[in-house]
Amino acid sequence: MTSYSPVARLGRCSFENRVPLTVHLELTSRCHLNCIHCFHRGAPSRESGEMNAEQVKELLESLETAGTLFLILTGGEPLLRSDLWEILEEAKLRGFAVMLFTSGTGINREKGARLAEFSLFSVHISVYSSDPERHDLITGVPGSFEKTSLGIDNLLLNGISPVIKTPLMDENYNDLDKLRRWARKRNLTHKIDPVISPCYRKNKDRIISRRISREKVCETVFESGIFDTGDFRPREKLECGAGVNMAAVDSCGNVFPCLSWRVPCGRAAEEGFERIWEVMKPDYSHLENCFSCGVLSYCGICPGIASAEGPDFFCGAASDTADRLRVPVNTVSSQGIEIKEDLG
Amino acid sequence: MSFSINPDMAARLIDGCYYIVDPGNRMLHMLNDTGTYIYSELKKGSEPETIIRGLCGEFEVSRGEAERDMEEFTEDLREKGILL
Ligand code: SF4
Ligand code: SF4
Repeated sequence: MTSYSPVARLGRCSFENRVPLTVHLELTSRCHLNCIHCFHRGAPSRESGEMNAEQVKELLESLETAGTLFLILTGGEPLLRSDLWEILEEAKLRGFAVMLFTSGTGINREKGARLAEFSLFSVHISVYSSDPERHDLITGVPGSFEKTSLGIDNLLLNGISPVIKTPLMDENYNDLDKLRRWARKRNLTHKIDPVISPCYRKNKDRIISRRISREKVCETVFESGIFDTGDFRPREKLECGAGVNMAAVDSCGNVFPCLSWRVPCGRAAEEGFERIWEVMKPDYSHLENCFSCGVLSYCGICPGIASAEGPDFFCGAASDTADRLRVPVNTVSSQGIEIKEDLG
Repeated sequence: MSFSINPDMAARLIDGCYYIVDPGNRMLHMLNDTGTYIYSELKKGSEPETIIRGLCGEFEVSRGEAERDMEEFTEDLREKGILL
């Protein structure tokens, strides 16, 4: 009989029982940075009001009942909410493992100490480059690198070792090695995101124009060593956890299958999260051809991103990957890929 | 014996099992049936005697076995920092 690790078991049982184990909650879409790749710019959530602290607390109650364990508080910039502390308090009382996504720019000594009181599961900070000018070029705010670095120092002073996140773009791709060294010197975990997401159709052109080429994405994936270490697990199915064991809620309370798959399914404050969750069913009709695709195993397709821009980017990347791994492929298009019989 | 649950731990009951996350060392612990029963009772603030009697009834074990289970389990949770 297979014996599963607690992590694998939790993943499997939340998937099989449709428990929203992980929920991204955007506390605000306001931010003091103006990043060139940010999907909030011009997004609908900027046009209507944020949930107030009471509404957020009600939502946390529903999420607790629904079985959410990992709560990711994100923005915009969550630290811009003056009631953030009240929300963190409630989240702790309700037994969530809380992750906080922030730019770090607002974390002074006092806030660093205060954050340490909440036993957060992790704090993730976006750093785009170790070159201050280049980082600031991406955030659109001069001096932001310095503030972010200071925020990181204030967390470290309080015993929180933040995870550094870097979405890759043409603007910072060549700085990656230096940034890795910068993070290593500070003993910080560093994660990269090679495919930035438009999240909304209306952002498609602006964000895709910033994305690194699919050749570079492929290079980055191979460089990570995943195919050499035996860590690579062929994808078994197209469906992901969106709307199955994860969900996202924006600052106005709109519920989505995932942060990257922003098809509104209802408003938590009006309909209640549990009711929305009960009937949520992600629609895969935009990926009809993927179901019979021959290289699905090597494809990193994100159904959410593909709902905003189509699957072509992923098709190309899957075909590049299959080529490099010498998986024989004869047709590559968004119409699906077929594997050619390997006669060799 | 008196126990209190460490308020820094995150925990959720999913599909009949308690999953407990220790944010300090980023470990995930999964409790078995007996552990889940004891932990749920401790969360409710039940006294050890009530829990031991409950174990006998729920799991059809002798009082001795229930006492041993309770002791081993709470000791283990203390070591892991889940109980204070
Ligand atoms: S693959 Fe995309 S849509 Fe699915 S869970 Fe991941 S980010 Fe969300
Ligand atoms: S390679 Fe293209 S057709 Fe195949 S699963 Fe990926 S996106 Fe779909």
